[in-house]
Amino acid sequence: MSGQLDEIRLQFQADLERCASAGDAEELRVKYLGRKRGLLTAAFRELGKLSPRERAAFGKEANRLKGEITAALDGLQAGPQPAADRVDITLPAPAPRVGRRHPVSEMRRRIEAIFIELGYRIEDGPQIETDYYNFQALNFPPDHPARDTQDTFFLEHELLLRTHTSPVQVRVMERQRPPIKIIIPGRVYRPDYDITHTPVFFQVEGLVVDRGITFGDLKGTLDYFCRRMFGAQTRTRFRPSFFPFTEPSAEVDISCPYCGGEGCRICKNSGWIEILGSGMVDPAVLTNVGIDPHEHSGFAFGMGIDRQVLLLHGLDDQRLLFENDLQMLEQIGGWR
Amino acid sequence: MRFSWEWLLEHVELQSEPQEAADLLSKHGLTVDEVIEEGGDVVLDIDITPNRPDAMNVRGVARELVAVAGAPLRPLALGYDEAQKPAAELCSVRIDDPQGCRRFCARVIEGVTNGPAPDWMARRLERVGLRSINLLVDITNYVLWELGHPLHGYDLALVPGGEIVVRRAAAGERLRTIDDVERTLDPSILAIADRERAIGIGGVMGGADSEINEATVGILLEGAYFDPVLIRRGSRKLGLSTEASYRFERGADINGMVEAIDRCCHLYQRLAGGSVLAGMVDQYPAPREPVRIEMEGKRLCSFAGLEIPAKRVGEIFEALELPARREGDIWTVDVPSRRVDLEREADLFEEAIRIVGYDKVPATLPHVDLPPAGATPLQSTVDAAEGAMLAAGYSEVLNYDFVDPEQNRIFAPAGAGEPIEVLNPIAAPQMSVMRQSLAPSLLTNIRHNHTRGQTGVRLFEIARTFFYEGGAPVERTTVGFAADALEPAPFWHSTPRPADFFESKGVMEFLFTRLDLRDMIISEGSAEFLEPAARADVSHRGEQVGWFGQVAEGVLARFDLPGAVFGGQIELEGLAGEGAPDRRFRRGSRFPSVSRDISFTLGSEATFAQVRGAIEAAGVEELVEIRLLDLYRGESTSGKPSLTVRVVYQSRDRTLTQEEVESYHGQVRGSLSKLGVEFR
Repeated sequence: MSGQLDEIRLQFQADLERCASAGDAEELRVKYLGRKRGLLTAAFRELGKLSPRERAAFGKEANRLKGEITAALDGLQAGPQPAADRVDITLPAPAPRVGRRHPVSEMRRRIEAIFIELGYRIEDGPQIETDYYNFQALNFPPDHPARDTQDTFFLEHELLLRTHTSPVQVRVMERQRPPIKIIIPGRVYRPDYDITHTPVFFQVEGLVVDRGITFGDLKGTLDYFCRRMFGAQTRTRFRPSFFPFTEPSAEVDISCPYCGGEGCRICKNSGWIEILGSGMVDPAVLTNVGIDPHEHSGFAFGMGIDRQVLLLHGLDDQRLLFENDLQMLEQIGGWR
Repeated sequence: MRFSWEWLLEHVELQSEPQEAADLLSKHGLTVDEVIEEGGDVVLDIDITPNRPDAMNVRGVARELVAVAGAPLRPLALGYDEAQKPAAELCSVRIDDPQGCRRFCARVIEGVTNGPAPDWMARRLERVGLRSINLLVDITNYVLWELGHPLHGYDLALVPGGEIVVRRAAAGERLRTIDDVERTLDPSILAIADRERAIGIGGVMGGADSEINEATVGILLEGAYFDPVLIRRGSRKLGLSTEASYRFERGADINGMVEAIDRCCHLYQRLAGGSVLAGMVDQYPAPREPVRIEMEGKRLCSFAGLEIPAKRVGEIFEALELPARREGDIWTVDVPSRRVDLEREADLFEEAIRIVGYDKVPATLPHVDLPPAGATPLQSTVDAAEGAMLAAGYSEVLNYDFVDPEQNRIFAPAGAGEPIEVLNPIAAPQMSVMRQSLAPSLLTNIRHNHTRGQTGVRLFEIARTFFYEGGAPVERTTVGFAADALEPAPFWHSTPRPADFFESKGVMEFLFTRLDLRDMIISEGSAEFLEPAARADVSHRGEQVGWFGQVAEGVLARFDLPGAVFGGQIELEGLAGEGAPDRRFRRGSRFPSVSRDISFTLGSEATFAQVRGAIEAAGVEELVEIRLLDLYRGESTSGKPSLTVRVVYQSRDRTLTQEEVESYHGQVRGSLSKLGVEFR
């Protein structure tokens, strides 16, 4: 029996949606509640045919439906409430005026947070450097082809703009004995300007030096970092490479966070994305700062922060990051 | 560097597919960037790092495949017949610079016929990106690509008496190189000369006058070892980088080059019908000392974090063709002359770990015993300043540190001195000096956002500014902010207020509050780039640390900015660690407060600071707040400022009576009247 009431309710709701005027509402009132042929009125007439227990339940349901229909039609005939009494919740609200952090800064903080969690200290150093700290101490001899990989801005007085954050490694090792466990975020400079290069960009470098540091420690640390950064499902791949200040050296690839390694446009169908350079600190670098490579070993790694921003947000032009367009900042800038 | 698969298979007996081989190479040391199918062959594009000149040739890559895929190396055809006539009769070599040229070998081939190279050779050269020229030239290029050693053939008839002198070029000595460019040499450049003049630039490029040509019948073939640094300097000086200089810079194989010469002679004889004269003229004044490295097995394992048994180490050395023997736990390796990258124990660690495979090393985390690290005072200050600016509704920008010298000069602090110049800027003059203020960058950013239709732009940057101090560079971490005063588009609910002088002042005060700095003084401004009517200097303990106010109209015009811009800047460097946080909670009074408003007109020279001072001078202890409710200046006040100030009285220990409040307020009014105000 209550199926009959459900049907009436559905039908009424359908009619109600089509109902446009007070006149329409009156027609509906007759159709459902009319004394002679109202649909609900007819249902009430069935009451007599029911057992006393069924009658009570059905009566209650039917009365409730009658109440709903009456209220809906009354509301419709009364017309809309005056605006002063009710807020139009669809009106646009003013946004609180909050500044946004530049996406590169935001990314730097994300990276820093992961290493701070692992007990690293943040270090910094000059952006204007000497050839010694930027190159020689890092095992780039003068007139060495390895320098070709790092074009350099030169200043007067035999100074230059650091091409990487690595000179800070040397400065820290000069003033502090192992154990050392630091990261170095900062601005670096190379005279390149195209879709994937800007003359200023940002790196984060890491350095750990102590007794008994192994290549496995390097792997474990970067593995942990990549999983914290790109998600627990991320796999890493270490490939032999060459940097003058590390030996052995490794490039680190992560499984593509976009396709999970299936292959897509972002990873150029390889399933992997190169993310980091790393390696065991070259004994020549340790010797240069007076640390005995037979006693201590260490690892170092570095990554471009801008690159990670491009990857995370799917930006295809690094130069956009330095236009500082509010549209960019408001879309992908950080909060906090 | 491009390698033909078909050519590689001539050197190594490999069953696997090119992609499989490429993956193995990448995994163990030579990164294959791309595997490209091309005309029935496959090209491997390999990114060879500068430490591996030994792998910059077909045979080197083949050797690497031997090591990583366990495939056997095929023998190389080197044989040829030597004629009776000794080469020394037709050719002689003298090295005047034995540091620059440690070895010079020459062979003479007679009776060659030049012409086009056979198809297979031309095809291979073209596949790897070289151009086929003629048979005799192609042969040296072919051997260069195959074995990695740059060789040069001279037309014997064009080298008078076959006499070769290796010497530094004379100042101003001229040479037309085979690329048909007339070059001027100097003593930093190594010349290959005949008895009179230069006929080539050692290790870089040969000369046009002695070049092999269609009519060549006799060849003087040069194989030499040049000093990497000398070649690099010479090549840079001449702005001429060649396949030869690229390899010599990275280190050629001083002993292995004889094989390259033999291979070349083999091909001359086989393909060009030449007759190789007897003997090789070989000037090698100081032969290479053997390089011998010792490596401890235990150290390898503890360095790698992986147990590598001695047997495996032995296999690795064998696969890499590194002669090695073991006594106890100590390995002794005799490094062949082609592996110029192997000098130290660590270099052998690298070889062992990469051949085992980086993936075999278990990932561990280091256990380093260090106390927990905190932020430095400057880091904390930067963090606090950044937080303050974000909370104030300013968005962060990051700019290049180099700016236009003219723009820099406008904002450089008084007495800043000459800016630090970039000698090789990527754009001059726009990006040629290191900025001494963040302001030019911020104005440029506002301008950029205006062109994108934005108004109400509020931006800040935290970065360093750069100065010379006593000739030494100094970097100062600085925060700068700027906001335009353009009318924002109206919004039905409430239209945001455009920035003004007092917004800048509020931001500056908020920064100082956030940095827990109490001794900030704001005084009349002096900066010429600000409007004289609306500018202020900011100092801390007597040192000027910044400024804020309205950017001068003339300055805005130079940045093509309409309207007004308000902003400020402070140096954080000296403020780091100066903050004195006071986090103690002070409970407010439980007793009711009473407010009284006073309206008055001020003399045109008087300041609000004087009004505040006068009210405070009344010495009412129960006075808890002075609030400026309204400020008006207009015709009805004859241009004088008319103020309404609310004064709030409250006691910490009792409810103030009507009489008390009246008495306090009387004192306050009395004190104010001494200032010469007119009450309304």
